[in-house]
Amino acid sequence: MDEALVVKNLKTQFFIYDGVVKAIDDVSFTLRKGEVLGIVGETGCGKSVTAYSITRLIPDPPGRIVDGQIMMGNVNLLRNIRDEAKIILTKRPKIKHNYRLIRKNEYFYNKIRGKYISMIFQEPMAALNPVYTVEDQVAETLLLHNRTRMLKIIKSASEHLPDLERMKNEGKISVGYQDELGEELDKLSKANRGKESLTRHLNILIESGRHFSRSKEKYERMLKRSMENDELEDKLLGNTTEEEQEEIIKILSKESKKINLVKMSRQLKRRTRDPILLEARRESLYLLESVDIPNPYGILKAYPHELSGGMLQRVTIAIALANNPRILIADEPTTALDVTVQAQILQLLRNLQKDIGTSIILITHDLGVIAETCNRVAVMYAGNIVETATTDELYHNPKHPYTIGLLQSIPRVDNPTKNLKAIKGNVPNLINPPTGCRFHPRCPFAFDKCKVEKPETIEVSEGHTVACHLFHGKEVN
Amino acid sequence: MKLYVYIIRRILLLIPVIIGVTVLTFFLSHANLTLLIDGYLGRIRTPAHIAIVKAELHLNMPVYAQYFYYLGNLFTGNWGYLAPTELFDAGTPVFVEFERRFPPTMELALLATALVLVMGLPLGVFSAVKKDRLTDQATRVLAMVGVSIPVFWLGILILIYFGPNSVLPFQLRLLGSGQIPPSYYYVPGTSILEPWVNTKVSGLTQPTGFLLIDTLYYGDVSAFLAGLYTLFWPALTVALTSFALVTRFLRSSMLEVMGQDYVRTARSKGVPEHFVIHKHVRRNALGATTTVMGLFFATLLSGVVVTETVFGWPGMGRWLFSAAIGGDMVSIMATTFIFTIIIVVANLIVDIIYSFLDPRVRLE
Amino acid sequence: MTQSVESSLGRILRARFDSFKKTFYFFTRSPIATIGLGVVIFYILVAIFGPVVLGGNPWKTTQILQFHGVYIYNVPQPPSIYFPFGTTFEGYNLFNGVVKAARIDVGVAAAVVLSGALIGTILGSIAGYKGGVVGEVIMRLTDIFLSIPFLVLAIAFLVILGRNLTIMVVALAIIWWPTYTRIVRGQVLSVRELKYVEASVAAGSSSIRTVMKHIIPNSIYPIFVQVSLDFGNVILTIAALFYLGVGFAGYYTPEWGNLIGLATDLGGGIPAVTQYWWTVTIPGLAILILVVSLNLLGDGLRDVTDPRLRR
Repeated sequence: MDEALVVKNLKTQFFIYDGVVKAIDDVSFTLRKGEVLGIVGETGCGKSVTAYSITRLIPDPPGRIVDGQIMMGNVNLLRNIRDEAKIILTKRPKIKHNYRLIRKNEYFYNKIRGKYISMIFQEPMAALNPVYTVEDQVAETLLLHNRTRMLKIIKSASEHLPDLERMKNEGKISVGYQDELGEELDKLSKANRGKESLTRHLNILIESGRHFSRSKEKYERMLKRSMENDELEDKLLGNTTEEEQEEIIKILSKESKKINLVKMSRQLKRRTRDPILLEARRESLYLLESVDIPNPYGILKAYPHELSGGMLQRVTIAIALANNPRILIADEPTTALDVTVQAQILQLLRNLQKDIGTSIILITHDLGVIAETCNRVAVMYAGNIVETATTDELYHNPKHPYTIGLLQSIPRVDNPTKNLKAIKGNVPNLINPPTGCRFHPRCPFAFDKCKVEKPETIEVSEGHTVACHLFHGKEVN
Repeated sequence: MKLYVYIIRRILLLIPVIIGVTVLTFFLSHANLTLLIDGYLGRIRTPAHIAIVKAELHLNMPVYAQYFYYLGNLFTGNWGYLAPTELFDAGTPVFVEFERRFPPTMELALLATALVLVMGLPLGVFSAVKKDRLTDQATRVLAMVGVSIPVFWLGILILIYFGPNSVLPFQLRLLGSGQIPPSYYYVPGTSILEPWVNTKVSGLTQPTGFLLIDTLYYGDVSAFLAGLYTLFWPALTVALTSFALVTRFLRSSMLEVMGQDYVRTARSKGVPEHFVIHKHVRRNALGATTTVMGLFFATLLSGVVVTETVFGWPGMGRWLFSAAIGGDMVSIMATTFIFTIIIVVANLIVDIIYSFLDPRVRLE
Repeated sequence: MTQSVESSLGRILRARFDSFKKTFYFFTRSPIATIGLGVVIFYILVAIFGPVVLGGNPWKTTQILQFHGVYIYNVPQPPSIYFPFGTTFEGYNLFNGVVKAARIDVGVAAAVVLSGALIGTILGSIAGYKGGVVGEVIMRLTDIFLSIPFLVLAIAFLVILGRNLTIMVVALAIIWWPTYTRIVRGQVLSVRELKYVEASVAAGSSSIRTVMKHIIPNSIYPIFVQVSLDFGNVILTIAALFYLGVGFAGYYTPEWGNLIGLATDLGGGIPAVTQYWWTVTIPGLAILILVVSLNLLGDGLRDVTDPRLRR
């Protein structure tokens, strides 16, 4: 299976006082494994809403994902989406929610978010909670989704204490293990960040190993329970019946309440003896190191308001990638940053992607960023995807009139013209969008059919699709 | 900055406010000289005596000098004298009376504050989380009615409808039945609390003056419980009429925080909704609530004054009431000053707690 | 120059009126807020016309010593057709008293709130716009006054300076102006930073013109909200003051709090009043209904004018 994510016929709408905003109108696209897919469009075209629909962060009221399928592997993340709420379209649209179902689906999605699908957002300065330290917020995601691995590392560390001590004194990694601890040590030696960092990591490993041995039964039980939970989660994402899923969700939700994040955050601030928290701290340190933050150990204890925008964005990237998610959605990650920092962040994303193999959806309105970073591009207009192609193909061979208009409106240094070519007209009102093709009022090539019928998506060459009546009949196979 | 530096700065900022208050009380107390002199006269009211008192109060000196003497008196506890109660009694110094009256008021105020926090904070969180659903609407109605009821009326209603002569069925008569009387009905010789209230007769010394603490100190648990029960109803009255402020503000504060970006980040990490609210939203929302605490304490203490009067609770509010009727100005000034100090200190404590919650505050 | 100021004033007023119409429309969408408004208007009408319709001395309730040959002076009569609200001790007709009290309560509260709002707004504008030492001094003053529980200060004022109408209005106005100063100052500070105000100043408009044209229209709505909320609080305070016995104009003044106080005093304490529940409950209800309506009105106004809520 080559696809990380397949979105089919996604429809998201907002029910407000003035009417129904049809923000996303039957959107479909595919994200292939290991690629960077860019979604580009003007403000208000629905790209952010698409991202939020995939992670189900749409505020409900007033928004709702009305229909669609999001396939991650074999699982449709939006199963029974239509049962969640009944929409009564009277003069003022009313929604009746089925809260039990919504809550169950929330439990399900909380297992997906942060672990399989992560997001980073536009405003790094506002993205982190100002009253908690950086360490707390990075560790939070690890403690939610990565307990098993952390417990295994600690257990292994507790069994190899003398080796770890020796490595600490030597200042380098000299032993390799076959288990998770070995992986970690491998990562550390490959990262090669210097003796001080290595010493720190080993210190924490040793300490957590010691604490593990002190209350061996307690942590062994914890590990066992954590592994059982993992099994259940995996089953949840496989092919199961409705009842099985309900059962699993019930058990998992009970378990998740036992992880008391508030207590943990308090313990993290003081000198904690809990090996899991220590390991979470160590991995947070590793993550901060891997996003190239200067003085990572000091930054752990810092508060968000003490950091600059670029550093905060790195922190959010670290948080998003903490659990090696399959999919990362980046919503205008560089729009709020200076151009130099922008380049660094994009480079960072590309490098990390190579290391971890995450598939990335990059949302932006900046065609330059797309050109630099993306393998494939989807162009959105007024809630529809109008064209999809590889980056090269799109820039050299744009088909859809809107894409052509966009590309033409970029001022070019190598071809200075006197007048800037703008696309005439304005972005349409999504409560009462234009009939037929939503772009037709602004399209220089529009004809009668465009006003009446919504264009289908046609594949004009391999991997290049367009939604425009001009290409009807010109499809490949 | 460091925490203790912040605390010291906050305390320093208090000083202008306290000075301002003393100026205000000074002008008030010297606005009506007849009353002022009356407050310092004892039983003897010959013209010679009056002249002595006038000199003692430095009334012949310029205003600013009077102010300094006033400050001196204020901070040394020389607050004047109450009218003598018995024929050959010299009037009790106001400061002594204050010592006697302060603990009951503090007990009442503290229990009322505790009730408000226990009632108001969870309600504020709930009504924000379940916005526009039944809990929210009901809470808002309750809060609104609570803050619209005249405090004294609520107290009277409680005494009438839950008291011994109530027109309602007797099961509802929670007060004044059997062994546990409400404070209003303190009839000498009939209650468990008698030895405590009538210390002249029983000879019990009250180490702290706080009824609840003293009963525990002596190990008299039944008296402790009786005292708690007696204290509960006036405290509830005060709490019901002032909790709305906290609840409403917490609700709007939480709604504002829930729309913030960092809450969205937390959700995108897969944090369960329960912890989104109780970890990420709550601390930020509570922090903002501290801005309304000043007004809350003012409302609370005003309510305490009236409630003490209605329920007959022997604290500073009741003292203020009888002083107001009797034209006893020195007592009024003393109570005004103390109430203000209470609010100022309470605000300080709230600010310090806030600086624990929100590290950004310490930057100022 | 004057001509352009006048015509721009006219334009401002018309624009304000239009937006006011829109606000009113949204306001009436909420049934609860509309009910609040209705009740408040009702009370105001009663306050103005009630005593006129009933006749008699507005400062005294009518006393009824005998009724159908029965001497009812000391025995309060329950509500009936003859006495819609019943009577209290010493034969006072409660209906008479409650209606006449409306004028006193509403009138005094109106005087207090309006003067407090006026003073507060002016001081707030100065503090916000001029800033500097004057601004700081004003804000410190607000700190001081907001630290004193309002009832305590009011009692102090009334006892020391004399118990009459003027002192009560002045004392309460002094207690209530700081809230408005804070609100207005906040508004001024935030509006001042807005770009179009900066542009206006850069284009050369004078301070007064800037204040009038930009700052005041933006601050009006929060002031309205605060006025209707404060109205309720002031009425509660007035009632409490009268109940405690530090009101003005004599022992038998018709005033809701005073009526309750009369009942408990003349009845021999609260426990004895239990069987004559209407003497206490009805005046209290009069207060409760009015204050709840004022709060509903204020909440409704706030919901409608809050710029953060999408309308």
